[in-house]
Amino acid sequence: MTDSAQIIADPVAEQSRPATDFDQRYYNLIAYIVSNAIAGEIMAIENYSEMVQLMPGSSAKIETVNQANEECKHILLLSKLGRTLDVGVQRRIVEPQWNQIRKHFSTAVSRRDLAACLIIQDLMTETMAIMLYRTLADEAETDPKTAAVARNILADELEHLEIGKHRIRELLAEDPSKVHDALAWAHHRVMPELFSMISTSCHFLCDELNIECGSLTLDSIRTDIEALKVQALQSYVETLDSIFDSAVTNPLIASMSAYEGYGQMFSGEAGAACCGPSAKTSGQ
Amino acid sequence: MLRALGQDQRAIASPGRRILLTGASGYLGSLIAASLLAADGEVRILAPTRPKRDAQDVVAPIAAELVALAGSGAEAALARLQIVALPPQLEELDPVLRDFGVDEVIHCAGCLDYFNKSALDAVNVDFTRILLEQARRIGVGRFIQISTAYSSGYVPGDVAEALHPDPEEDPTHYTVTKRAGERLVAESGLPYLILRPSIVIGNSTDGRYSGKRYGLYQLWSGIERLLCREWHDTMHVFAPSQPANLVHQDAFQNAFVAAWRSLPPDTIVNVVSRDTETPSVRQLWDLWLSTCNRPRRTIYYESMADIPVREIPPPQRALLALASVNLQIIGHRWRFETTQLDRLEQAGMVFPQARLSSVETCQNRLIESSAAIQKFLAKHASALVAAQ
Repeated sequence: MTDSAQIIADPVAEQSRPATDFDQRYYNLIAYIVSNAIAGEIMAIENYSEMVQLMPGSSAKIETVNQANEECKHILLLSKLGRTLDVGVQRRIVEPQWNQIRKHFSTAVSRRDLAACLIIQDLMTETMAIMLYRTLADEAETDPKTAAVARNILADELEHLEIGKHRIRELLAEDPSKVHDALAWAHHRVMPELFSMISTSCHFLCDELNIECGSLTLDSIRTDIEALKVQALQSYVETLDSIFDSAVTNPLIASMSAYEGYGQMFSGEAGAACCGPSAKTSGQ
Repeated sequence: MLRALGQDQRAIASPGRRILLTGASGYLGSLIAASLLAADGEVRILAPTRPKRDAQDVVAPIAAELVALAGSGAEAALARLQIVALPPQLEELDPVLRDFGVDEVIHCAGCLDYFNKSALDAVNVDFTRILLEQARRIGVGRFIQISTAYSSGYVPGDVAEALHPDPEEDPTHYTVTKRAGERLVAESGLPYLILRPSIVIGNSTDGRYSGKRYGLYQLWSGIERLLCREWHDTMHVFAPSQPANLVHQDAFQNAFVAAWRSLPPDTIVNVVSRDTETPSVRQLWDLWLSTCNRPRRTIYYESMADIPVREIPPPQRALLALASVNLQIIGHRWRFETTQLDRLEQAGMVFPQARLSSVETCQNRLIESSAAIQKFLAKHASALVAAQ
């Protein structure tokens, strides 16, 4: 893995910690975001590796292996960024949502549902990754080293998204209803997990990073959770629109207004008042 | 020809005054609780809520509404409300209900998560069935069900004040389950009253609203979050010219109390505004846009399919997708039978119709209370002025 890291452009090489325009809160935030990004990259490696068996031919299998390899390089870049900035980052999956998405992906593999695999990894996860790296790549908001690494990774993720779109369009041409079913199946399982991670509160990650949970805010990169949620939603809608008909995607997007953790974005309140059995219910 | 209420031989002699109210923690449930406590000094309400739910959270909106309705009498009225934790099995509540002397059930709990089929089935159908069994066990005099004006699904012609057959198409699984719930109530053997409100919005006089961001508020909230970050020169809106049936909360409350007091058993009431009074979706958009977003140009679409989704700005596209299900429901041409409401109005009930001016009161209350919109208005003042 070290060898792989050395053969790619190294945007953090030969640079020291930047000038002190950024305070400790900023670096805590970067540690949190980078750790989560690494977890996403680990998941991506596992997903691409598991998906290889479903790919239709040798060239597609090789391309998928290459995608896994690129995600591996991203981990090395992000880890090195952590060391350069002198912030602790985790190189393992901490937050449970990533494991949940992995579980759904493995289910899709066991069902030999290539469309669902591509949708989960190349559309859903990559779209969220692109949104994240675009935010970090904004030099006006982040330090130069973080911005450079994010730009580098962003280029790869954009390419992965395009590869995924191309493959899904091919599957759509063969059997649209099967792909639409795969989209709905994946959407209802994976998107709630991905959107629940657009948050500065966590399950365990802050503990692992020795950050006081609840102390993180995004104002040091001049954005907020609300803005990120809007961006994430718009990016996801844009990705879906580039492949699917709105008659297929509209009901799926509409269902996001009910997501746990996303309710404040659209429904006004998360959770629901209740008088009834243990299902999610509401007084009317 | 309509009969006066007093001439109806089936007219209910005495409504229940020891009431089990489900869903009191929700919007309509809290409105019902406050209305009944304010309207009748004999009424006592037992409200079961989830065990982990803080009773104060349930009581607070009811208390606030009671203050608005009953003024200084609110505190005394509130003392007649009792919150009880819902046990794991509903049968375990039987002794509590018997001790309380429950003689009527008002079933207002429901699942509104359009996309969670299992939860919709569990709450709107299965829980209703279990509650009906309990109501029979303890021997109540009447079972009142809060349903929805849209329980018919998409049907041609008027939505009758009767049980509905299955339509060819339903807007969502929600309407399927509410229709099924109505049938269970009607087939239970208990005397029943079913109320079907359309889209409930704030009070007609001051715009107060304590509900979640459902219905029209969901759309307004979506605009607030998605379209009030930057100024849009052109707005693309799905805005059919037909009426959007809205009901003010005070109209709903008045209709509920009047129906509870005076309608005969086995009655179904569509609680809706008059077609001729309630504004169209297009008027609602104009009202909002002229107050808030003030684009230079607005392009209206009568059909969702006409909207060039790939060409419109991403925030507008995202809003359209997020609100698509409710927009399609609101955009359908609904016509409702209003025989029972007409009867109640003839008997003296005041039913404030949802008119453009009263909807504006609700809209402006939300706009004035929204920090995000006020920030938007201040930030884009020059563009907004120029656009006018």
